[in-house]
Amino acid sequence: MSGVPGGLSSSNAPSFRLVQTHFLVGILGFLVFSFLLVLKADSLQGHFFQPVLLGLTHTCVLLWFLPIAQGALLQLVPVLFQVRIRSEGTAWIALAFLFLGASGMAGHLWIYETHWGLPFSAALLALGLLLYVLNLLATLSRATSLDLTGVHVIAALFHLLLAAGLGLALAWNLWNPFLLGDHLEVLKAHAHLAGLGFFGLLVMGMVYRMLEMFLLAYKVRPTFGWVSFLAANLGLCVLLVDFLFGRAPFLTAIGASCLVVAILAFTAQVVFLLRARFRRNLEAAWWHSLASVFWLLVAAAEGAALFLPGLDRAAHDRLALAYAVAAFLGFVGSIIVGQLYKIVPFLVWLERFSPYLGLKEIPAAGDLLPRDLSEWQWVAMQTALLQFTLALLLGLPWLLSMAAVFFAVSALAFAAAVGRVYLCRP
Amino acid sequence: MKDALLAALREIKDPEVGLNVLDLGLVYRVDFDREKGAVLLKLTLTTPACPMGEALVAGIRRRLLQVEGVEEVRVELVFDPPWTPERITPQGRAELDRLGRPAG
Repeated sequence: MSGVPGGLSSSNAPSFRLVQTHFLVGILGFLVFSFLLVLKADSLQGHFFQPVLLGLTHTCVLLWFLPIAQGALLQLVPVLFQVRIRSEGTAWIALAFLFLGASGMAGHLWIYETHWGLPFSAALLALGLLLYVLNLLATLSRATSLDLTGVHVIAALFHLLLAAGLGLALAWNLWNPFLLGDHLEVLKAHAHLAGLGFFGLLVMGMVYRMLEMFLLAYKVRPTFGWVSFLAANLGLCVLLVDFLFGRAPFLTAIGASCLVVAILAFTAQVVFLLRARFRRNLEAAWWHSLASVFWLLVAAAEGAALFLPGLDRAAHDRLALAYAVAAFLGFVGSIIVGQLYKIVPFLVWLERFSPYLGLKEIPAAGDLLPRDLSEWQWVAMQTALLQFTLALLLGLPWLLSMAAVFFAVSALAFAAAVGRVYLCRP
Repeated sequence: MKDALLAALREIKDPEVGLNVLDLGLVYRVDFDREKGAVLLKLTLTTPACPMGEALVAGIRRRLLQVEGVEEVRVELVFDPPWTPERITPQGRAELDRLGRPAG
């Protein structure tokens, strides 16, 4: 009997434990964040710069989104680009730094304790991110070719480093002020680099490839994907200059317009891929992905509306929070939940069921996910997001509390659905 | 012998799409060397970056080795010509319909 043929991308995959530990940290982060949101739903009011809101945001982004995005990249980069992760040991160390730094950051911001512990936590986090990015760039440097997804991943990693650098500067500035510019403007640059620069580009690049691979969407020209990529990077660069070096209305307009073009072109590329797909049936994973695109469009509309003349301060603050909710919880949160519904069953199937393929009847990867639970989870999460949006736009505090409860229910349902996948055995 | 090999291949389903590897159009060629008891399989994947590729190849090998008279299985992965959805057989399309995934 001969061995397994060489060149198979799946043989480059990292260890099951490495990726699962990232996911486990992220799932726990999702539960903690949703629990805190129920406790402090009323903090989603007023100006965005307030301690509890900063603590909540960093819990969401650093302890829910980031470990899952990093774990998914560790799994997908070797498979998609047919290279081995440069160093799994470095990936473990980076995760430890991420967890320690992120927990410290979220905790310090939550109670607004700005002594040395805050920049120290930010430095741990930045070090973890630096190790992670260098490890992945070293991995990608061995890829023989880079396509649309590859350039998105590389650009996203650079934006992540920039976001981490600005985050460290902001944390230091709260402890020992040194920034010459306005702290809040630097914070906006940091948030846009993290939200759109890292998560946005990463999601866009990965969605193109996931749609092609899982839904068998072939023969679609990537033209709109490239337009989106170029416009997103140009828009982010312009906005970065605008935020960091003094606001100029024409720069803001150019940057925002580029981002709107990027989002519309991304949507067009996704629509073309969906129309070309060979598998018509869409499960909960893809419902989340479609919802994610919807929330990105909502965020673009709300972001553009922030420039409307005549908005009073209170309306502007509410709209800014609705924009952040649509961009982070709607766009990034939905896609992360949806793609885990694809990736976790696949990994569990590969680890536990694949050795029995050819020996006995085994379920398909998608059959491991409890369908009803994942569909109800989608309903609860999207209901919560709609409630958050309405509550913020219309100024209805009671609806914020209800939305937070729905969101927490969706987090529990998600953990239960994914937990059941992990318990599946042949 | 060929019939027995094809029947065995029909039992191996792609774990993502849910179709067997023959109806999915992944098998380009099956040869059998009676003297050596060796099967030579030319196989493709839906994409060179197929995350299930290694598991699928291993599963095919395990199943074919259970066929009486087979002593050795050699799998050659080929990506030229590349797989396209047009390679799915009419039976495969009917199965996708049955699974609620009508072919485009």
